[in-house]
Amino acid sequence: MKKIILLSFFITALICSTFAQQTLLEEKPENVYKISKTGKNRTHYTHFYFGFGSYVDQPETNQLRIVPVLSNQSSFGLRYKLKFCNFYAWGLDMNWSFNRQYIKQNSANFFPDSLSHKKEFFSYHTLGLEYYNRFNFGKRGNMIGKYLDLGVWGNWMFSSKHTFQDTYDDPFLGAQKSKTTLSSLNYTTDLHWGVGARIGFNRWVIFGKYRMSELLNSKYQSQNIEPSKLVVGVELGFF
Amino acid sequence: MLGLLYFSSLQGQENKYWVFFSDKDGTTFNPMEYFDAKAIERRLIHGLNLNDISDYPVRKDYVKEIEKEVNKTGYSSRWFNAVSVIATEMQIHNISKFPFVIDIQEQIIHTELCESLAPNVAPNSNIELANKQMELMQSELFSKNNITGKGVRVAIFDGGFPEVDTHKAFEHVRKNNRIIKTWNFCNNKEFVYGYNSHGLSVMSNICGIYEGTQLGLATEAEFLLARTEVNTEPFAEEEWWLAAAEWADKNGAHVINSSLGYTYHRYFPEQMDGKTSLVARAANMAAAKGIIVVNAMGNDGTNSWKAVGTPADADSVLSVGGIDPFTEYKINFSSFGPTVDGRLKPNVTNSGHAAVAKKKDKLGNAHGTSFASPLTCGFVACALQTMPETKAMDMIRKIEKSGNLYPYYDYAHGYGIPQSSFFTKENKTTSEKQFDFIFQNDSLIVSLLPEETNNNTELNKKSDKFLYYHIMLPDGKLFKYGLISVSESEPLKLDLNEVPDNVTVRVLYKQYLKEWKNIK
Repeated sequence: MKKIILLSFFITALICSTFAQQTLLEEKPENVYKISKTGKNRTHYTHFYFGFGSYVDQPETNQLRIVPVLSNQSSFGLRYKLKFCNFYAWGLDMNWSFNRQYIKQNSANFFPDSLSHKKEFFSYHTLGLEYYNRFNFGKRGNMIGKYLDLGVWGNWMFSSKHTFQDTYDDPFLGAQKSKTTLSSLNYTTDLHWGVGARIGFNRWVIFGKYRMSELLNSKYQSQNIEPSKLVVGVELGFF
Repeated sequence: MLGLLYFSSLQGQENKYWVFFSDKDGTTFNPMEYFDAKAIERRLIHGLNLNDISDYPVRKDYVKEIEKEVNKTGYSSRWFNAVSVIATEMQIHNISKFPFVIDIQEQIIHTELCESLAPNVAPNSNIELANKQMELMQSELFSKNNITGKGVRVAIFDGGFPEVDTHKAFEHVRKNNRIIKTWNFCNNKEFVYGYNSHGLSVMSNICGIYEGTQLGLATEAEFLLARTEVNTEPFAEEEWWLAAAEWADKNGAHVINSSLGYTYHRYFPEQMDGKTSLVARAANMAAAKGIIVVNAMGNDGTNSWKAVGTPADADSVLSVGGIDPFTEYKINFSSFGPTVDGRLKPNVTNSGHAAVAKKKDKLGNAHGTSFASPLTCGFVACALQTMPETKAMDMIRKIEKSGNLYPYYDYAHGYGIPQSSFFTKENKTTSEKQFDFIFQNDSLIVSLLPEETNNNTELNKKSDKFLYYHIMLPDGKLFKYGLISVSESEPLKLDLNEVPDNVTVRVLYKQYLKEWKNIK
């Protein structure tokens, strides 16, 4: 009985709402031109982005050589912009990045030892913060437009791994692959900083980042062994 | 390094500018040679001087001096005494020093065709839709009186007109050689029958007849077709819009249809004042020459822009918003008025979902104020046929008066859908009293009178279920407005404590308008 009463109540409510008076439109014109403080070319603007870049090989004096193009960085971040005038803004960028540098196998490679492998790469995750200055060019409406960013960044490496891949002949199973991964590495530094630049047109960005600090500890620094410091790539902003 | 490269590239970066000159001294002009006979006739109707300085050519020696400094020069505008140039900032700096250069302005490079990406959800057939879009303007009255836009010259600015030279919807136009001239401003040639099919659909809503079904009202109008937009992605340059407006003027256009708008790429909503953009000024100039410019409001009603675009913000432009033809009230994407300085926009509305000609000789349908604009443009051409001596601004006022909501207005519907009965002098049925105002506890209540059976079809339209209301400030600007689908005896209750002093509340229901003034 209780269920029937409840059901009748809902059906009645549904019928009433179907035929109920409906406000189709209600507008205050002042809302149309309410000047927002947030927007692509307003005082505040925040957006997510995804970036992908390739590491550039180091000078020959560096004992550790990487495989360019294949060595890469993927990043995802949140970028905030505070506009001061049509030409200038500054901002902050919080990001996560995953980096993988493939190490060339040659006689000069002593990182972390002199053994040669089929494939060897050093990978790490970072959380970063960047302060940047933005210089905008050209007249525009509520758009990001053309710009140049110059910034300084700091990263905390919260995870790192060193991986070796090899092949060998097993007398019973034939050709086999092996993969060894070292984690909790004791030869890396946790905090790094560097400078960066971006040139952008709306959501499309070309970036370059240069690490000023060392990634490996003093043992390797003294041997002039250091992974690549320069990464260049593209970013896509999500607006 | 990256920064230095970018800086150096920006130094050498080219942009498009208008360079404005100080005078036209020494130039000569023969209006009889320059203008088409219809353009002269239009000037005479408007009492305009045939030797107006704004129609004189730009001084060639000035243009030559500019050519020496820049990489490329483009269109020379008589109306604005200016030349379009492509130049670097350094070159612009040098040009600005010439004594005959009085101003330099960077050009707009992005425009949007006002076709919406809204999904096509209407289950109704295209024929039914076509009949509905015609019925909304009372097309049968124009047909009955043989009003078809005959003798009226319409210029259409769009991204291309593919198949207009072969499509069956325009057979009657081609048969009578009523495409007077074409010009492709993007490529400097006559051919316009390719590119973006937006113009094909737009033109069909002015004059198309598809297998006996009328798609637009002005089936016997004459046409000037101008391609002013590039790419299916809506990009274009105002240089071509201005050039096309001067071309349309020269060739005797009475009406221009422009289903495009400039919005956030270059402007902020608070700049929609009808004066900031050069296209708005160009549209006003066209109106000053006696041309009625009909422009789409834009499709930004549901996004953050929300407001009218430009040149629909121009004072002398007939701006057209969109309604859903089956619900007969504002279609969600149609942009809102007023202009930032509070002028009424849209002026009128029309169907924002329309049956249109599509490529491959087909009939389809499309959404956008892009189609509300040409439907209205066809109406304007017919109205002009009935009153050929009427001046452009007077005609715009008459079109507003013909709106189905007139004298009521709001910033979503303007004065409503233009009605043929206004121009065919059919007796408009006056509505009897439908409601009263009741005052109770500081509230104004609209109380409907008991309903009587009414067989008058004009009073039994779908839109007559709607109660429109606005609260008007002493200067005529609206404080608030709304629309209610009525199903109760007291559909509206306004708390007068939330209403400013000295306002007028106007309520429209079943064509019965009543107002109450709150004078303190």
